[in-house]
Amino acid sequence: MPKKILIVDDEVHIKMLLEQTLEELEDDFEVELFTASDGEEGLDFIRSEKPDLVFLDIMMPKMNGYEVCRTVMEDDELKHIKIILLTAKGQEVDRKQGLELGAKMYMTKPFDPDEILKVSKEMLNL
Amino acid sequence: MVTMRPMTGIFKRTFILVFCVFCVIAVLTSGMAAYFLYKRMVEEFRSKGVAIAVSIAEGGWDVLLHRDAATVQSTIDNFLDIEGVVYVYVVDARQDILAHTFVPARPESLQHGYPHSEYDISVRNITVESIGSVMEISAPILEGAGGHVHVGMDRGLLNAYFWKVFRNMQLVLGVVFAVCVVLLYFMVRKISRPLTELSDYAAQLAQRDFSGEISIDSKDELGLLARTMQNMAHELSALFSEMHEEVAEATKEVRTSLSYQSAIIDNLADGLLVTDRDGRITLLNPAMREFYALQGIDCTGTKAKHYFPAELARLVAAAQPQEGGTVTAEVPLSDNRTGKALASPIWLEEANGQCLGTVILVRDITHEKALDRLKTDFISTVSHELRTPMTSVLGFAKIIHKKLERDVFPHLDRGDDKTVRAVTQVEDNIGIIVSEAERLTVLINDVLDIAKMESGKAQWRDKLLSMADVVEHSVRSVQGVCREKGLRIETEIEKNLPMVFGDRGRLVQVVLNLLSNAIKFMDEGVIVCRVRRHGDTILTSIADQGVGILADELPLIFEKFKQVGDTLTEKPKGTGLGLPICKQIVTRHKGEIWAESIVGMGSTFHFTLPVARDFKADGSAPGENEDIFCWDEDDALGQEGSAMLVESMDTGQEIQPLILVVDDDPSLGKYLKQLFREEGFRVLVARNGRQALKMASKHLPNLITMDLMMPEMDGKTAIRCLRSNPFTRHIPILVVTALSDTEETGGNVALLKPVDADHLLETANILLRDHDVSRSCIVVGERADFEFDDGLTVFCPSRITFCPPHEIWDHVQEGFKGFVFMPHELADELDLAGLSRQSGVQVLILPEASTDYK
Repeated sequence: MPKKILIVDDEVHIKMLLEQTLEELEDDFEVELFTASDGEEGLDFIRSEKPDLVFLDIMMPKMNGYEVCRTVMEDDELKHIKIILLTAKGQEVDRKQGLELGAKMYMTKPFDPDEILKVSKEMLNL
Repeated sequence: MVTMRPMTGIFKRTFILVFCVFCVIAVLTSGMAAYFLYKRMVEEFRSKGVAIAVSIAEGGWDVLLHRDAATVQSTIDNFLDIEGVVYVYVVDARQDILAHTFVPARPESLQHGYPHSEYDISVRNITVESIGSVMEISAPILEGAGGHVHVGMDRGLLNAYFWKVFRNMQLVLGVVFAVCVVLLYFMVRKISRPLTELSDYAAQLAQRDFSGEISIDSKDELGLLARTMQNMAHELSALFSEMHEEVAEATKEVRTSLSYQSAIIDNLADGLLVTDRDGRITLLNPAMREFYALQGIDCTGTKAKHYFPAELARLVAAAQPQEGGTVTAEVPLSDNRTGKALASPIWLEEANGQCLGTVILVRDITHEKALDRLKTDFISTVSHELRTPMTSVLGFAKIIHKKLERDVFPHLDRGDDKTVRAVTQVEDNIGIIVSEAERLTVLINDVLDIAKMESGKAQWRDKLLSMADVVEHSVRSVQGVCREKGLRIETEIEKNLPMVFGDRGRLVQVVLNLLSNAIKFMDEGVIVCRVRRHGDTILTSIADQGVGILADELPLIFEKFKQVGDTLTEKPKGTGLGLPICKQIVTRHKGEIWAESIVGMGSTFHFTLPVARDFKADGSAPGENEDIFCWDEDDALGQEGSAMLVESMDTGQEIQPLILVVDDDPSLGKYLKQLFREEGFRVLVARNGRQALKMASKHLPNLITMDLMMPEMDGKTAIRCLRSNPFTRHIPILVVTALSDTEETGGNVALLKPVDADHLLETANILLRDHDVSRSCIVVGERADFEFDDGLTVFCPSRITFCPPHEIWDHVQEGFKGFVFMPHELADELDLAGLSRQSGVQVLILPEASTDYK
């Protein structure tokens, strides 16, 4: 069964960048990529598809990344899902909060595509 | 008009005395006079009687002898007319009466038995019935042969005469006395009238009536006195009117300055509140009334807490005890506005520094707060908006580079020169895009960093740390670059350096900045990093052998966007913000940074950081609330607590976590207690900071929820105290506060009231889990290097993290709490003492037997 990676970001380019970065994994491993453009859409997807790994932006319309993260971690069926928070470094304040909410990692923009690849492999045990 | 005064006592007494003396004198004088007169009269009567008796006896002896009774009778009858003669009678030798003047007969008592001298004249006093007291004189006729003549003189007449004289004398003396008294009275009155007038005048003066005139124009002492008094009165009058004018003027001045001051106070845009020592309102300006919607209410004399929110009332109380203590706080105003209140005690210097009360100035900072928020939002937005495109640029550039290398270039015809050149160019160009984008990212980070620091928005994670470790860490990071450039880095670090207090990440940033500057401006040589103690500071110096800086440019290098050298010909290497950021960071840590340089020889950058003993262990800056008094008794409580902890661990039972709820609001305390109880926690409730400290050290709870605004000891102080006690410093603290400005409370997490129950429980669970010392383990070394006995996995049931030796400090800085296992051969390489000093970190050295190398 292929592993599912969900990318949640309202910025089209960032979404594309992540997609293109992670496409490499699709070639080498059994990985499927999905995207969502805001928190609500992301949460809906997480609920229905239960992805293995989520790259979650924090500043998003409708529902921010913290809320998504919290909702996921509160749900017993979903709390195994690994969430990596991605954010512009501006909200350093919230780093601790993010980790306390149960996110596995916290990466600041701009990020290095290679780093993303490496982290994803680790998280998915590939 | 001079009124008669009532007779004074002394005058009355004197008058009575004088009257008595006068009476005695009058009686004595008149008595004496009458007595002498009486005596004289007696003598006269006697001689008169004798004369009569003798004249009868001698003149009429022949008649007597002839016993011519009628002649004798007529002779003696003549003598009866003489004053004082009462009777005359003549007796013969046989004592028979010859003639007498008695009517009708001689009294019985005179008839016989008179012893009288025969031959001589005799005088005797006798009392005769019906006549009274009589002086009888008898004269013999012819030596008794012819009989005797007896003459009786009336002594009663003499007595009456005596009393008459006495009475008359008395009368005359009385009249003289009365006349004297009247005369004296008028004389005294004449003297006393001016005196009375003077005394009345003086009394008038005493009542400050200077209008009266005095009508004494005599030339004697009294007149002189009167004139002197009048002069004095005039002088006084002038003085008084002058003083009156002055007082009036001064009053006017005071009134003017008062109204000036009250106008200032009334027109202050800031709210002003003055209270006395008991916290009662004494003054309130219109702005303050406006801030709290108190227009038209008379608040003076009432306790401040009746009209103002608790925050302000607390401020009033807080400003009093400390000498010169000025306290500031943000306070809510009416209409959802926010104010900044500054309270300072009013000291009266003349009264030995007596405190009169508190003066509080409140400024409406709603607008500033909004601006501040805007600024924060701006920084946050800009940061987001700049980073997002940078992410795309950098990311895509890297992807393009990768894809070209992997998927495109291999398929190109390498035989064609043009293609080869194009490939090289594309590779170079992409490299440039990446490196420039990276530079831009650094610039953005720097700009935002400095903007945040300057606006005070930067977050600082202050902890105890070792500067030696910071420098070693930084040096390791640049070692690679140095090797590439062919430079050498040497470190000279003094042994046993004391810890400093600061944000490790930021300090690493400083050292890295200075190191990369050194590397940037050096082509060959050695960079020397020294860390040593310098007085109460730790001095870190980074010396390079680069081009150096001109002396007149030295002061400029810490200014923003100032890069030394000619910017037109030399390409700037860096953003120009590195050193200003360093300066900001070092200044924030209460240190100093400076540079020394000799052109051509190299530069040395120094910075100092104060030794950590000046700081409280929990993160407060030095100088702030230095004299916090945490414990009433000795730390014996803490000792006791540690013993309890050991006990509870020994029993090995699964005990539910104990939560200490600290809140002064009983209903909220009860609510939290119930909430945690339902989750299966054990709960203790404390009502204030001091109580919380006692309970915390006694029961060592697993988590503390802390309200900030509390009586006796507020939450912030309590947290500070908890953090400074080695037995309680590890306890996670969840701050539950109504203050929108949570500032740096020292707690682990802060939640705003009203608290969402789920959120609170979740946070509490996270804190409990993270701080569960028995579960978190780090093993220094690579996983592959170890083969464990089961003991370790039992000891750390859930998480075992592996990390290379140089990363252990990063974990600790990120808040790791738990056990660090370390193979004994690595123990020498790490600062074990520093590590085990960290709160919540236990270091265990694994002996050789427990590890088994593959």
